[in-house]
Amino acid sequence: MKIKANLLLAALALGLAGTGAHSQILELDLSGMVSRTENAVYAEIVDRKLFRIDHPIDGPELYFTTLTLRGESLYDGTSITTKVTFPGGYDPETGEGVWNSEAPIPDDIRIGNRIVAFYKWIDNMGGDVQGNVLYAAHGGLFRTTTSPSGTVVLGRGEGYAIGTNVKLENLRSQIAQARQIKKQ
Amino acid sequence: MKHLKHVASATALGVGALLLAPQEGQGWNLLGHSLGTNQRSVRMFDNFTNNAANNNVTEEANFPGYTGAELAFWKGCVEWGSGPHGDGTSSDTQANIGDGGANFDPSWQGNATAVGGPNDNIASEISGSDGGTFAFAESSSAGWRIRFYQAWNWADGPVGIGGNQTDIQGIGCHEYGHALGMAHSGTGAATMAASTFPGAINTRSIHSDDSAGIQALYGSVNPIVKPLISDVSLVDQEVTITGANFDDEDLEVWFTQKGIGGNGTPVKVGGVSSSAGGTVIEVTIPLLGGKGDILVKNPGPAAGNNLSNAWPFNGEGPDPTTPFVQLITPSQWPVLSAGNDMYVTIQGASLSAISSITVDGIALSGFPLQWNVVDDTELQMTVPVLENLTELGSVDLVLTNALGSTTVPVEIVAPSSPVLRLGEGNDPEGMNSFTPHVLRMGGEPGNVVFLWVSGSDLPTPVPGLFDLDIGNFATNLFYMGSFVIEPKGWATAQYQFSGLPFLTTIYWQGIEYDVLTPTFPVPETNVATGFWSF
Repeated sequence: MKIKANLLLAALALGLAGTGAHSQILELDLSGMVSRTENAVYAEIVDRKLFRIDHPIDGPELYFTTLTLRGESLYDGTSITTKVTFPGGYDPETGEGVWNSEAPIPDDIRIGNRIVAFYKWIDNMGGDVQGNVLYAAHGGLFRTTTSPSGTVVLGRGEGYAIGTNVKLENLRSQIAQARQIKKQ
Repeated sequence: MKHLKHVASATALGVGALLLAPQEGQGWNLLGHSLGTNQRSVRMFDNFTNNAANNNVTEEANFPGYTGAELAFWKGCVEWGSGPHGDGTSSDTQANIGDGGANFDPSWQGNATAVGGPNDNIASEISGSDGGTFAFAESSSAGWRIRFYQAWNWADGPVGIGGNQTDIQGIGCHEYGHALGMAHSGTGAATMAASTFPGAINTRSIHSDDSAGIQALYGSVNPIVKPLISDVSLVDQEVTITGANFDDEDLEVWFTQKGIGGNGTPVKVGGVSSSAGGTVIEVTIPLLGGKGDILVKNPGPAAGNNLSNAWPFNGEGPDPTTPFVQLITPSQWPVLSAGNDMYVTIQGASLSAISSITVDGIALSGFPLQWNVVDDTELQMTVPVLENLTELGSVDLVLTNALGSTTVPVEIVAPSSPVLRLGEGNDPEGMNSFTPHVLRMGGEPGNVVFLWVSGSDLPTPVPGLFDLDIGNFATNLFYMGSFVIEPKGWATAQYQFSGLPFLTTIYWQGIEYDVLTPTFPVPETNVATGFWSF
């Protein structure tokens, strides 16, 4: 049984890695992420919209996805509803979109998912699209799960701002520490 | 379809990750798609804005014709190739370029003129940033597009780069890995590791983990099957390719396009044979071939083990010329055809960029297209109705491209058997109340054509005299008159009907009577069919 369980875990881990984003992103730890972003939220995805830009310079068929997030700021604890956008995305209902290597996978951005997201305002994320960008695309979004001891944020592995699984409360504390360092 | 592939790709990711679980110590993962041999082209639209992206102006023997960002990206892509690119050396930090060991080899196709769509296999810069992403790839089995975010200080190397610069070659190598179907690796030292940092150049050279991944995806090279180029030499315009495992005939030799633009399809010379037991190929550089790579494809399935490694090529096809005509088949053209078949084949050179063709001053139509370019050495065309013709004989065929025109005489002769052409020669031809119906009857000048029309395509045989295919034993047959064929090889009749029921089908046919030497039964024309629209 132990072998089977290990295999299952390995397979799941592979599944996560295999379906993860496929770009080359900046290697960041949590303090690096906090120093570069304006906010982080623990929130539910309440809406998701795909849109397309055909830009005279940046090219045709540029797809972006905007997530509407409702939850709380991990920076100051306030309630917040905000929109974050990332390049890429695919709408299975309309068949529109493109497989963008940096976009979070569809399972990560299902409506109803509760996630942690880091973002900042960007004047141009390509195609002259401006808004709160999901920082480092998939690298700025982390899924969560609930356990008897509380909410757990799922780490993405080495090189990501949250590399290993961490309790939400602990993450909140770590972010507060990182913000203190940022202020200093 | 493209989107379905994306879904399939996304679905396959999870399944693929489970099925293709790496062995212990390996971290590679696959996206769930691969690139067929029709998706091996690589182009760059060099719109990089940072000076350091294009300040390497030194050409390298193994990468002829390109410097700067193009050279850096080209190296990054061919690092995934099946074996050493040329002798594998370069001026950068790598011991060898070409470490994939798989049945996968890209075909460098130089510069594009625009960003292109998600399936156009073009790399370029994109404005802006998302803060933490250097570059990304949009990819599926239908093709790919790679974008480098402008916000970073891109550098072309070739040796090292500054600590605040980002490496086109290394990150390009990573992104091309995504394009060909690799996902992120769990091995931190792999090129396909998810993250990197400014100043890093380690991802230029793929790791054994990356090689294991691409070999799992495309299969490992079988040295007794996959065509292998080991040398290319050039004398004037004649290329000699030396290697192994070349089939005897029907080979394709792929060249990089000369100049910029194109559609990403390699410049191909087809129907090539090998000699010396499949070890030598001799071919002339095509007009559009240029500096870059040569690959050889054996006939058979579009599989990577039928396509050779990419070998550097430092030559160019001859400068473009006006169209050159070497052979016209058939050499004599019947003055009239029942339809619009492209039965004339022209072989020569500089035929791929023809802008117009005229015969005796009559321009061939661009829509519907009356000619078809097979490749730079061959085109096919129909012969238009030669309205200016007064008698059979020689007329001018004029082919024009951007550099000028070439005029060739062609012989126009009477059809070998009677021909009837209705209107524009469509089968069936639309007819209506408002437009006269023009019938042209082709044959030997001086002969007489007797013309009939019918609503039936059941025959009317008259033993010993003629044998019409229409008229239903003369119960539905209307005689329309007789016409003498003019010196130009045809006679013309014109009618205008009205009031026929919608979609009525009308059949026309004639017989051609030789006045000087009558023969029986009298030969008949083809049946021309029209349908009544309104």
